[in-house]
Amino acid sequence: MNILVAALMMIPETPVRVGSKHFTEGYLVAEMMALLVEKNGHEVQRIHGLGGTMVCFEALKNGAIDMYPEYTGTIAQEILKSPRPLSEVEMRGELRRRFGIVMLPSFGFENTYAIALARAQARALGVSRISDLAGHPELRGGLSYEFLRRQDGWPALAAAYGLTQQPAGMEHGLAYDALRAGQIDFTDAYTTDAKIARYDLVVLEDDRGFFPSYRAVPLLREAQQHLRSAFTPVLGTLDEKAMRALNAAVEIDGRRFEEVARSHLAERGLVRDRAGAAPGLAARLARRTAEHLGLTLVALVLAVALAVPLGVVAWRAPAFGHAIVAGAGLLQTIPSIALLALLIPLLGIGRVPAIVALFVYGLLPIVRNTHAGLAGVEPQYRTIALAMGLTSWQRLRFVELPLAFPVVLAGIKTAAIINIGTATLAAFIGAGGLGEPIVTGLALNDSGMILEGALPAAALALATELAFRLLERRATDSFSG
Amino acid sequence: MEIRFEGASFAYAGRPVLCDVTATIPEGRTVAVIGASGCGKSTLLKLVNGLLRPTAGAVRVGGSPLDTVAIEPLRRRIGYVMQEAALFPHLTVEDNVALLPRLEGWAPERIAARVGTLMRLVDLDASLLARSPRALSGGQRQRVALARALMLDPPVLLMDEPFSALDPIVRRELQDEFLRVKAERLRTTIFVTHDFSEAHRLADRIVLLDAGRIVQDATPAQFVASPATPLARAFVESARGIGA
Repeated sequence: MNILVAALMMIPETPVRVGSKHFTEGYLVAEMMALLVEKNGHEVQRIHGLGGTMVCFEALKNGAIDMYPEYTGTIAQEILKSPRPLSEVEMRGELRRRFGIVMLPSFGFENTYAIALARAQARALGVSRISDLAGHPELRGGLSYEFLRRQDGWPALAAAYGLTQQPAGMEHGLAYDALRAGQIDFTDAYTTDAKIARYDLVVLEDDRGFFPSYRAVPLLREAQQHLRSAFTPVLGTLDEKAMRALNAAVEIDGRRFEEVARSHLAERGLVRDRAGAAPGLAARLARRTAEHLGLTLVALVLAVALAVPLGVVAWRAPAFGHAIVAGAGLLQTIPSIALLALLIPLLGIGRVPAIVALFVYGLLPIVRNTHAGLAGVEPQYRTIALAMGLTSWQRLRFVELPLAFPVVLAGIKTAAIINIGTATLAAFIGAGGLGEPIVTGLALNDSGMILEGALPAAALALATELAFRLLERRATDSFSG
Repeated sequence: MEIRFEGASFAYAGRPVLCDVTATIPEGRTVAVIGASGCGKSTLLKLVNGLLRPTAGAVRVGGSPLDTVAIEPLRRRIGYVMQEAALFPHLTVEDNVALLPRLEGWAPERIAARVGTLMRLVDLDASLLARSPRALSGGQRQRVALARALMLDPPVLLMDEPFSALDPIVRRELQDEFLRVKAERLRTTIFVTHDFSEAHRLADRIVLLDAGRIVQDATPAQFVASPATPLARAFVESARGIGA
């Protein structure tokens, strides 16, 4: 297995790899970064939709990606884990010193918590700053549960500004409609939230600087510093309003994020407004299916190579047997996202950790069925094989394993089908496959895109089931024909 | 190869199955072991090829006690046929019969020749070789099992009620095959059966086991003439009825 990992890691990766987190703004800003790098004459590989800060930053640290957009608040709290607010100068120094990561100046917008009111009402009441709310205790708040409960959320905000309103908790998605219907007067929002434009809301000024700063900045590996000039034209030029409009173009108007990012840069004369034709559906499907099958197959072959011998040992040495089956069962219970996250510090992102995770999930069904298959061999065959003078290995090779084969095969089938399903999560760590459109579709709330991944994945699982059924029938036929 | 039981006992979970069995089966002789179900007949057989180890006493095959470490070479010199033919269902008839010589590294021509000889000896048509054991009748399966046991031409043969599950006509045919096999080469043979007429017909000597002990060890003629116990008499009379 080590050889394979090494072989996979040796695949030459010359293009500049741009990563993004899996939400609309992450995709949009990363795409702009990618376009600007391309404009500077470099080939770019986009690794969109990585699952969260941990995944992105570990990938950047390990060199699995070269750059991605991040937020200063996240850098201070989640990456540098600073107990106190850091200035951007401090962050820049720490990132370079500890991780060899370069933080460029902000794109210009900030995506932090905010309090939003309907524009008309804000104007009528003359409210434009959060401190103005203190004079209007009659206003009804409807806040997301998270914001309402977080220590640094509403309780702290109310204390800082002396607010006396008693806001209700509600699902964030419903708050906007409630606001429009006049059932509530204010809610929490993100400053670049597309819905702010859509519902015609105003964001109150955080005049006491309560909310931490979440300014969007590009993070680059030191080795890619020469690319910083590529971003100069956009840094400091993208304000909240502009970002809100771009988010709205994707989330509300349903335009493709690649197209929105390109046309924004094109309007400013930074890139040409002509995307290379996007690959057609068939080409996309073919590529993703091939990637998906590749991940699943390599993982399955590795799992069979380890799990069948383990199953044999478990059966031959019952003392180990329980430990082996229990161990494989324990691995199975690790949630797939958690396992992927655990693997990132060790293996980075991309195909290798994805294959390792799938390999781990393939073990249990194969170990268990190998054990069960061997235990189920009728005693008469065991007796005659012994009496014929077959050695331990010969009994296994010529009698016991062939007789257990149909059961082992059923275990391999289970592993294969689990893997096909689980492999869709590999897109969170940039391993491609049919999970790619699912992850993107989830981030962009685009059900068409989700189906573009989910349907082929389901079809693949079904086809695998059928293929194995044929194999099983052949295996059984050879016993009865 | 001579087989000697020297005060051999076997107990299973503290319950005695064989008690202090002493007997010698001279090279080339066929001994039938008879007795009621559970008298220890099959256990006696399994002590010879080491499927079971005596809990007291010893069993010698060819003069030396069973080597507990590398018993496989000895087992390959001991043919074994069970009541269930136990032909491997994932292999064809030919692969069942040829498994051992292949593992021994015989040349394919030699294997083919030996398979041909044995198929004729047990009266099976060569067209059956390509079949699955599942496609054979009970009698055919038992013939194949016999051929498989004889493949390496072992000097010792252990027959554990091989024909008990067959109907009387087929059983009679197979007894004829066994006599042909016996005529081809004399092997030290233990033939376990509960059928006195079968023992009488095939064996040079008959041993009666009762509750794990030998109660009579005699030639078939002596056995019929003077059964030693009421059980021995009952066995003799069970056969007289059908004219053994």
